[in-house]
Amino acid sequence: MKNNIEHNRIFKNEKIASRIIERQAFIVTPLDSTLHLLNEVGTRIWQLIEEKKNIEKIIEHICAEYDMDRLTIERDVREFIQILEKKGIVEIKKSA
Amino acid sequence: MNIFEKFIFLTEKRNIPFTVNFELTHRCNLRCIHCYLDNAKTQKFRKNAKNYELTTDEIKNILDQLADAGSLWLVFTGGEIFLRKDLFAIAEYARKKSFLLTIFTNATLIDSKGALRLADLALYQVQISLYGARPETHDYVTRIKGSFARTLQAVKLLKKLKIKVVLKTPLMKENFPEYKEIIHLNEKLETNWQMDPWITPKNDGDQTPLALRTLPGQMGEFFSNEKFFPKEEFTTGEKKRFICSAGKNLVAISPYGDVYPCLMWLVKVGNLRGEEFLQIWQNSPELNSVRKIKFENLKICKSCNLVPYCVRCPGLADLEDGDALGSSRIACRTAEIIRERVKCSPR
Ligand code: SF4
Ligand code: SF4
Repeated sequence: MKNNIEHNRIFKNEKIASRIIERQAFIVTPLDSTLHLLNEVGTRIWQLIEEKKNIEKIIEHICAEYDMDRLTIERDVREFIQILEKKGIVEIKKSA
Repeated sequence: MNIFEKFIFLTEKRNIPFTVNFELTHRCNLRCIHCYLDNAKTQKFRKNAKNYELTTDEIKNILDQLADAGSLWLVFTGGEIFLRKDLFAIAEYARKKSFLLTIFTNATLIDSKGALRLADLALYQVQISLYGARPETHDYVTRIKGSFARTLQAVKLLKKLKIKVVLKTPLMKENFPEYKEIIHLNEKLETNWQMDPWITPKNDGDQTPLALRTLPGQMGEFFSNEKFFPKEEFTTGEKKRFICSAGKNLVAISPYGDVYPCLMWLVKVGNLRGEEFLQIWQNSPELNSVRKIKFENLKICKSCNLVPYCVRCPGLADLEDGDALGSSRIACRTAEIIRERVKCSPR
């Protein structure tokens, strides 16, 4: 089944706590009080989410900034955002 | 190394002020017998505190600076923070800046409306002082009649809203006989709890509160209880807990903007009314010498055979015994008790 998250909007869950330290995002999820650590690319995606970019824009930025093929980036970014959603770090809402 | 350990390692090594203990006020509606703030020096400020305390805007500005410096865990403490009319404005701002926020309060001023606002803040923890399992004991310590009932009522409100509550009990002669009842009360309320026997001198060095400390027999019973001190913690012989995080990834701020390595280690390293946070944090000569302290610099402790059992705090050593690099009488007494316990208990 094709997942159309690119048509949806990604929001940071307002209940989390987070800080970027030395180019790494540390995120604490409220329900389980767990500390999550994002790697360099994950942190860049996180920054773009905080800047309220949609998935298309995030993919564009990552393609421009990293030397990887577009298909891999598209797949990885989508998977990564779904993991963030599962962990309660972001919420994906359907565009009106 | 798990993520948390990695985080602690990184922030300590790089001197990133991960934890901030921020006193929002020294005013309080209780008059606890062991309070370290109630002294001649703070009286002046307490009487007319609003003229001296950081304003809402000053605090917001400091929070901006702390976020930029990499601070994540923010603890608002007092005095009693709910005496500040702008508490929610400040707390909401802190959450907007994505801090992991804990508040420390006596909870007597939290009503159902306040509890709902706290629930909206998605706090990490609300830490509440509890001085006894019975109203007469708690109210004896706070010297305010009815405070036990008000605190407990608030705890129940917060629990109903699924807010994480930790009840903290400083043990002293007067409430020690109730410690099992206090644990039982926590179990009934389904709250997490912390107890410790570290009654400290007042901030100005006045040693009067020390007379309230638990008796040697009580101290022995406390450290013999597996619930407080799992034996394994004291059998590894680690030296590293001697060098604490104060000034490395931990910083404290007073209601008047003074900056300290820790609320227990009151070496004033700057004031945020005159300087930027990072300017103080990176350039203070006092902070830089605190950071350089190594186990080998601890004159007496470095050759002490009680090290594996010792929970020495440099701030307390300074306040009580006059030297942050020296030994600490309360730590020595405690270490001996712990060693006896470890030696006597079956492996
Ligand atoms: S050991 Fe003492 S000075 Fe160090 S962080 Fe703990 S309370 Fe503060
Ligand atoms: S504080 Fe006392 S018990 Fe602890 S290491 Fe120093 S001398 Fe030994």
